[in-house]
Amino acid sequence: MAHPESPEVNEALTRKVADLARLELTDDEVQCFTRQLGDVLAYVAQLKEVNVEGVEPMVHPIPYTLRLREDEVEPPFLDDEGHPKVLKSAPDAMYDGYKVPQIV
Amino acid sequence: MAHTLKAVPGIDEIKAYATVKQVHAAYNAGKLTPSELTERYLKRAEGTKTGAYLQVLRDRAMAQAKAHDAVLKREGKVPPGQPLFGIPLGIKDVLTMDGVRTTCGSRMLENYVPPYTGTAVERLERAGAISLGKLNMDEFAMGSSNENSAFGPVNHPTHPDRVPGGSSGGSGAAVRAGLCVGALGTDTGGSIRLPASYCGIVGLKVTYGRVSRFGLVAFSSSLDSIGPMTHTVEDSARILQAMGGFDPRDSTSADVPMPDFIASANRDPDWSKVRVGVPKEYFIDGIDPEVRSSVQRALDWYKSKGAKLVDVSLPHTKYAVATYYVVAVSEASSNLARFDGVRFGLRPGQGEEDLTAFYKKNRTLFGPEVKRRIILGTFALSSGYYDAYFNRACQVRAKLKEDFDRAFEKCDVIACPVAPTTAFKRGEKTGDPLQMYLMDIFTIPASMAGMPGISIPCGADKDGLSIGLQLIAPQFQEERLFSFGAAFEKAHPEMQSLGGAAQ
Repeated sequence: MAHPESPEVNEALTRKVADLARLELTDDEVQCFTRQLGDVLAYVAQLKEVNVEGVEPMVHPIPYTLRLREDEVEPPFLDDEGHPKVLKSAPDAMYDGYKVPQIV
Repeated sequence: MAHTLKAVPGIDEIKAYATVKQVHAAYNAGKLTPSELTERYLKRAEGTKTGAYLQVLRDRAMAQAKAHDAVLKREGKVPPGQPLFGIPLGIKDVLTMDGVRTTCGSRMLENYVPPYTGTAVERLERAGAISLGKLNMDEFAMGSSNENSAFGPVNHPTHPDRVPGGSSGGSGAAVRAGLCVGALGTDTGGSIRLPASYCGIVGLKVTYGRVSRFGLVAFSSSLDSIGPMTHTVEDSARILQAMGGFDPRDSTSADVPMPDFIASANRDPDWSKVRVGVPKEYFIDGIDPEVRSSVQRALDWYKSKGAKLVDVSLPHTKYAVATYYVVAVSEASSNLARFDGVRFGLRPGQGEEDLTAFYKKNRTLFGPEVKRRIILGTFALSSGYYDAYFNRACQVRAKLKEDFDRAFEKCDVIACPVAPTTAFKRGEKTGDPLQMYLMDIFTIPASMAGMPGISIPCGADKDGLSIGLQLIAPQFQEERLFSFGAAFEKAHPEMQSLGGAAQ
């Protein structure tokens, strides 16, 4: 099994990751993305040169504290007939809700 | 020998009304009404061959303009407190507006009509702006050339065989071609500054948190920012003044004071106190000699004014693109998980048998660059690779920020090129994503560090394509960009998109 720090980039890896991301790829896409994933990961490998010992990972660029706001009810986005406006963009809707295909 | 910018065909028709100052002077003199001006811009937007607009909002814009006509007639002048009164703007199609289709340049959202207006647009309209339409962009703001839009590319406004830069390519082209007075773009790794540089206009990437992201469809949440693209630095300041500042609807919005930016754009610096940092890592082999010499001339100009040029070093610059392409794609893979065909857009997977197949079929609507980045990001976040990729990139990101913090102990502003080259040819880099990513090498570091940066035209190459000077300031010091930038702009009218007209 490949060491996690230097993965072997092959079509199986691309297919596995695409599956995790719920992406359906054609065989051509798998081939192309595998090559490009390999190129990008080879380029990204240079990050290993940087001494990051003891460095706190920066996940946010400005000092940031989570603020709590008052728990106030704001009016919902309704259209003129009183239905939720978000449903205007729903692929399928019923009874003021999203309608989805039966899955079980 | 210095070259000059190629002129935009037909720009003379609108050149007298291309800045807020010009338009307001005409309104105050009774020479122009908001609906006359809006009509002129709408015609240009509808007739353009640049591909800059995805949607022209004629009825909505004319209704806004007519309301402004009534105000102008009643008041006899531009009302105070409406700094953008009757100013036609274009909006990048990644920003939501109530009842207006917002596609993000993607088939995935081809029919998406959001139920609310985002904070930036809402504040601009409250300040009097008129929204002319939605502007083309790379799909979900992923790209450097605007070749990744599902609805067709954007042409460079003066060189149709070239790219306008991306991802705010529609915004860059629309402003330069006189299809709006100003535009909103978004910048994650350079998506405002790069098209501003390529198109020859002013583009501002604000400090992270300066402008609320409420109503911006998320690509990379720790990097995304909304900013103005305009002909002049003053208009850039004016738009930021109207849309910036704390917003309780965005938990990452910064609660910091909003200084008078318009005043800074009109204030000449005390040059004897100005220290301009020149980072050696931005003047490397491989940058176009014409870009290098134009930026060098800009540095010499600052020196001639009495500013002190200081050598600074940003030693982790060479790792910035690699860092960015781990962090940004990781955040993107997470943000774009919401596009599953349940709540927005189209649903080609309606008849599929199980949930996984349903999602997969729905997500075929993503274009190739988006899929590529989701795959890369999903990989970087996946079990077994998280520490080696995402976590390490975040650590290197801290080093990049440290570089800037250290440099700004020695200087007030950093000056450097926006991009290593001028606008490249269409199709030139589409086959090699890594080459495309490297176009952002000089814009990504400030993005990673959350610093504000501005692109200002500082010359042209032998083909008449614009070259951008980038100024970078410490976080929340946009005032310096406006003040130092406007001083350069006023001294070099021949390099600007409107020539001497607006100065």
